[in-house]
Amino acid sequence: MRSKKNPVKKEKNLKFQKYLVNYLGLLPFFVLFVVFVLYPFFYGIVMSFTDWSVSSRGNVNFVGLENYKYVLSGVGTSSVRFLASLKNLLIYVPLTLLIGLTLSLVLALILSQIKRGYSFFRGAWFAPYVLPLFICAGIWQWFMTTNTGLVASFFAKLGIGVGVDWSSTAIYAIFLVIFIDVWNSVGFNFVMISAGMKDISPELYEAAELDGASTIQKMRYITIPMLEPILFVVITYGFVSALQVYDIPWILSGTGDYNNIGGPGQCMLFPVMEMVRNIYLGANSGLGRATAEGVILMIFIMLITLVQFKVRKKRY
Amino acid sequence: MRSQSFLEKCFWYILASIWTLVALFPIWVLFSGTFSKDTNNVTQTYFPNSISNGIEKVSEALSTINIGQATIDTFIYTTVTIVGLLIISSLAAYEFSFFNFPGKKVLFSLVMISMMMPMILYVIPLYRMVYHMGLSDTVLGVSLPLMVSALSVFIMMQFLEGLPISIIESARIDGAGHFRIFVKIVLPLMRNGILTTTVLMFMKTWGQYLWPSLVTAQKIRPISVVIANMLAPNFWVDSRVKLAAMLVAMLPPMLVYLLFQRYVIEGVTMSSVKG
Repeated sequence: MRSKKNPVKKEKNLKFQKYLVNYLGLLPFFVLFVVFVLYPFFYGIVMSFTDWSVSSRGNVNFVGLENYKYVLSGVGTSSVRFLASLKNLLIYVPLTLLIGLTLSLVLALILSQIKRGYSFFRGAWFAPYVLPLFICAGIWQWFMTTNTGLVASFFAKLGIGVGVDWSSTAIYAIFLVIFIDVWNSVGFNFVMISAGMKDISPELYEAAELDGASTIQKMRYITIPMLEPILFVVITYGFVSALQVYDIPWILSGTGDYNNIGGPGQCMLFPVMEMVRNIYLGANSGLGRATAEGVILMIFIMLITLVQFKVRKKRY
Repeated sequence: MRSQSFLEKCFWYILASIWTLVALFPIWVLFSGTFSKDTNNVTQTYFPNSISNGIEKVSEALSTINIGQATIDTFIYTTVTIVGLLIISSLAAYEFSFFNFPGKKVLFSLVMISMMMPMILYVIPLYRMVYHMGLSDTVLGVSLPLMVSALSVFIMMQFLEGLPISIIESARIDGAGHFRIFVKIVLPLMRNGILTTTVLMFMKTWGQYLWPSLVTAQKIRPISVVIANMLAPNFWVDSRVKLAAMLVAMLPPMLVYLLFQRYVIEGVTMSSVKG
């Protein structure tokens, strides 16, 4: 672009003019993209090495790896909380993915067996995904109220969590989040998987039928292996969004007190919540620490996507 | 395919009905709880029995907990977001789909990478930046960052994929300019793509919580923030009013879904095709 006024590169100049309209068309998107995504992204990485806080007006000092050392040290409230949030994440992410994926696969398999009413069931099962997460949190908060909540008392009858306050008891709190998240996102995942199933050639099934395969055998040996590419997409999406879980636990453990975000004993604390707490708290180096936590989370996300792409490339 | 036996059929339908119940029951109960008499135990109301009480609760929610104001505010920033998003993404999709130019690959992979870049990675600097620009607590402040949506570009590109480039070439021979072709020929042809993007992004923007909660304060009241505050344990309000508030908050995305179901499902399927 800089060669525009260089007379020596007249040919390039002409070429650029020819494409000018194309760049012009892309300009609005990329201006917003650079200003509101790319710039803050790199700015955040740089600031994670400083003592940036809400109150520092322009003058920040570089502190090297101090913020990283602090948040991973386990000494001091914020650090203890961050490590606790990572521990919760370690339970939450695999479980929510495993349960969510299994359920959406099962639902897609059930739907593939249904001829009349196909679009009714698909429409109904997708409906929870249409609800905003803050509504899902609200509905389930109401359902899971100790003793009186509809679903909590149903569970209590089955002997699960009798008298337990789901949103403030360790482990139960994580399961509550998993539960709501799965209920909400299964609709989305199953629609993607279903779409993949429709693309499987019917000839494969016909051949299997000639060999006398049962419905279950067809699922096990044809449907699931053929779905692998789409399962990869679903898993990647799921990982990235599960790592950033925020809305549901933030609302369910919500109090006005910043020290209680994430519930008693940080039973429902997740990394993004701790980052946001750092903003509201306004402590020294608060934003520096929050961005450092963000970078740590980003490294996880990048590693996971990288692994996924590597595995995918190897297979296909 | 081999025809199923009657028993087998029943088996699949029973399973399907069970999940239908799990999926729809909570939404149904929200509705029936709101529209029931005060004398009913609200946690065990499975059928609506008083429309008038429900209307009263809804109007109470609209006024006393600011759901009315919040709905209007959310509508405004959602609309601004979507209009901006449609303009910039459809233009980008047009350029990427039909033309070759130096740097296309690099720019396109930037868009793809941004799909992998969740907002949380840059939300803190973004929030400080918008604050310093003097845009915090304004419609533009909420909307501008939400307009950047790689997924929208991607979905629209899928809709353009089937169009032959000869349409554009013949228009050019007729003397139409680059952007004239876009407005007069390409835009009308990607009507479904625009509709799908609008519907999906409407639902997504309506449900945003983290970003609006950071960037707004007094003037703009996002529905997500109002509902979240209402759900906090120290906020006391009649439980039917709470239900009514949630009912109002979920109505717009639900209506959009019911009206444009086909486009929603299509959009979700499309976003997975190439992933």
